[in-house]
Amino acid sequence: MTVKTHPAVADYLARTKAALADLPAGEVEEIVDDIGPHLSEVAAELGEEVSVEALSQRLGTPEQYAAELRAAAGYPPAAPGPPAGSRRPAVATARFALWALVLGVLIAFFAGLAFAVLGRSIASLLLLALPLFVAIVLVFTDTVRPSDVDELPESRAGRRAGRRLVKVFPDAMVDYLRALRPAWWGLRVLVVGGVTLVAGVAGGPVYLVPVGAVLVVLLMFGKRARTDRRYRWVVAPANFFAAGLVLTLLAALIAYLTGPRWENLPGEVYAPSMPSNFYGFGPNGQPLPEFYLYDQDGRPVYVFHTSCGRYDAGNAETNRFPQPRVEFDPRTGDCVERTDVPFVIAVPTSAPTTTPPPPSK
Amino acid sequence: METSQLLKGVLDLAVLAVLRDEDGYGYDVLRRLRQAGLEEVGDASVYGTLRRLFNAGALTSYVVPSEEGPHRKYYGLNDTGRQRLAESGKTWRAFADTMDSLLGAAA
Repeated sequence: MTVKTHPAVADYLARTKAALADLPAGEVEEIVDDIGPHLSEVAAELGEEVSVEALSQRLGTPEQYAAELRAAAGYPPAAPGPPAGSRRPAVATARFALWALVLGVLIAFFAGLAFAVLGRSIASLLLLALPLFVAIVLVFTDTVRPSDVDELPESRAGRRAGRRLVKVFPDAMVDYLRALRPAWWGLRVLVVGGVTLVAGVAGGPVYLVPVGAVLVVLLMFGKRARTDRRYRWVVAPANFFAAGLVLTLLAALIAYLTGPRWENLPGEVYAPSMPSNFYGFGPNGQPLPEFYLYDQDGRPVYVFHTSCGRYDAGNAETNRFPQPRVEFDPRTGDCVERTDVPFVIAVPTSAPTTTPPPPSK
Repeated sequence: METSQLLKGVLDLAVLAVLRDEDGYGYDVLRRLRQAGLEEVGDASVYGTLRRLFNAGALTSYVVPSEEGPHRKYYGLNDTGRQRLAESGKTWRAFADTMDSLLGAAA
């Protein structure tokens, strides 16, 4: 929006923005988009004598204008200015709040990515995110104000880098992505809600509690974060957790759609529908205690076999047969691995016809 | 009693009402309210109300480029907005009827 704006309008707008500086930048931008054209029209009506004073006579001072807007929009009241030197924004606590947020966001993103495999280690991740919880308390007790955090040099540098990054992409693309934001708000709730459901049914409390908490945060505070920046400390980690989940699900979906399905891994023969064990017998019907199976290409034949759960490195993957079979003792319920032959056979007694016929010349 | 005091409670309803038939940008909304007779409505209050209704999910917004002057951001009712307009309208009518009968009895 680079249209020539009257300097008085620009001044008025700048002071209004300053009075709304504690609101999220996106919301302030939306407000400026609304009132900018309006101020220009009022200025045009005023004609020659446009000045901040003339505008103030029509609309109230920029500060009054901002206060009226704030009241009507239901934004949180402006943070009171520091009472005359009594309280210099504590840089140390602001810095702590910022970095705790960054750390919390990273942990949340990782937790979302690895959620399915984390299990009990989620608890230790929560412990890692402890600084975030401290920061949330600091922010909501007004010990740290979002505006204090904004004034940190690293925070400024971060915003500058963000703006530069946005400028790299064409405006149309940025606008399009902005327009997609409501879709994301819906998607994140859908995905986290779905995962909550699955976790509740199949995962147990270790999974249900964290993902359920994220769902509650998104539902209760997602909207408020758009107008009250303090909620960022709660909603941003929840958002990144949801993003991690979405990426994981997407990757799983792509893998499912494109990946190999029960294809044999090179060098081994897995036979899903083949016998689960083999027993060999000699010509007199005596069981072979040990033999090894190979296929026509000389590759070892492995089967999936059951065990009593003991890990036995030597037996983990072998083409040695017969594999021990698992039985449960009917009296004690104990699992027993047995190697004897579970059936009786009758070896064909008539001499097999495989012997080559005597040479007849 | 000052109209501006009364307006505070019903500005939501008034803004929804002027957007019912046609989308409009901020200044449109303001003008329609003034033309309808609500001269005392404050500029900033209208913009604030638009933002609150938007953030509450009752309005959609889109930007329309304009040949002269800045781009304009239009607001319009969505289903939630329409529903809210219907409900608030009902509440308002009931309230106005009550006040009418009250005043009729007092007069």
